[in-house]
Amino acid sequence: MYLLTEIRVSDFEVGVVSAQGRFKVVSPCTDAKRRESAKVFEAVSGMGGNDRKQALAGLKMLLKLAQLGKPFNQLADPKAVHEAFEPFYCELTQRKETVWRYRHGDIRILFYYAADKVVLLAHTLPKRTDKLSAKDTNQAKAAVIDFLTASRSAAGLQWIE
Amino acid sequence: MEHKPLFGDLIAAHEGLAEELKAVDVAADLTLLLHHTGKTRADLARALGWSRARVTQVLSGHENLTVQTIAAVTKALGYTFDAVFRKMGAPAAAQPWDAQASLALDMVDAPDLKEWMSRTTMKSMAGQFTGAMEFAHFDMQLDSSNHDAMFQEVACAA
Repeated sequence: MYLLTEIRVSDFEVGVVSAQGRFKVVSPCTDAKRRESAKVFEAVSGMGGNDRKQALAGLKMLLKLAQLGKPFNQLADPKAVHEAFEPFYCELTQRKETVWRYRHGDIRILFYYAADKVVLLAHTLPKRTDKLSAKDTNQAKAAVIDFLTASRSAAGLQWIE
Repeated sequence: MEHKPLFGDLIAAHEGLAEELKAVDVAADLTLLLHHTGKTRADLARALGWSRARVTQVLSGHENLTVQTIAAVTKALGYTFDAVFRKMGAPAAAQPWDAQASLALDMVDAPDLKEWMSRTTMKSMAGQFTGAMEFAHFDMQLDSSNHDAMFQEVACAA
C-alpha cells in the first residue's frame, strides 16, 4: 500500500485555507496513522537548525505559490525553479519524466508534476554544491517511479488526512 | 477538515521562525500579485527603477521587507494594501487572485459555459476580475438571457 498525504498551507499556520484550484503538494508516508511519517516531514525534522529553518521557509514558499495552480517556473525566478537533472526514461510510462527543483537558499526541494494537479515531493535536501549527487538523483527518480507504480496498481494510493 | 499543523511544533521550536515565515508569506503574495496583474519581473523592475536582481531578492522570501518596499511594489502593480488582522485560527482574508483561481476551476468541467463566456462575457469582463466585486442581487440566476444584468451590477458596485 502506497501512503501519501497532502502538505497544506495550514500545516504551517492554522486558519489558512487552501485554494480550490491549487496544485496538491503531496509527500509519501510510511504510517497510515501518522502524518508525521511523511517523508518530507522526516527529512526536514532531521536537518540541523539553520537548514531546517530554510527548508520550512522554502516549503512554505512552494506551497503558497502552489495555491494559484500554475507551474512554479511561471511564478518563481527561473534560477530558483528549473529541471533538477536530465529527464529520465521511465519504463512504466514509456516516456521521459522530469523532476524539477526549487531552490531556497541552501535547500533543494525536488518535485514531480503528476496527473490531476498533484505535485509529488520527491526529495528535500540541503545542498551547498552546484551538482546533485547520484545518490540524491536516484532517490528522486525512485520516489517518482514508486508513485507512478502505485498510482497504476490495483491497490492505488491511500491518502492520509 | 481542520487538522493539527504538521510543522507547528518544528516552527515553535525555533524562536522567531514564525515571524520569518510571515516574511515568506508576504514575498509569496507579492509574487502572486505580480502574476495576477499579468506583469513580469522586468516590468516591475522598470516601473520601480530597480535592477532585476533587486526584484528577485524582494520576491525570494529571503528578505525581511519593509512596509515602504511592500507599498512601492503594490503601487507599481496598481494596488494598495491594508494590514488585516484576524484571531489565531480564524480564516485568512481572501486575495484578489483567489476568486480568479476559483472561477477558472469552476469552468473546467463546463466546456459549453466556458465557450459561451469566452465569446460573450469574459472578454468584456476581463478587467473586472482584477479587484473585489460585489453583486447586490444574490438571488438572481445569471444566464445568457439576462447577462446584461451582470454588467449593470458591476457598474453599480464600482
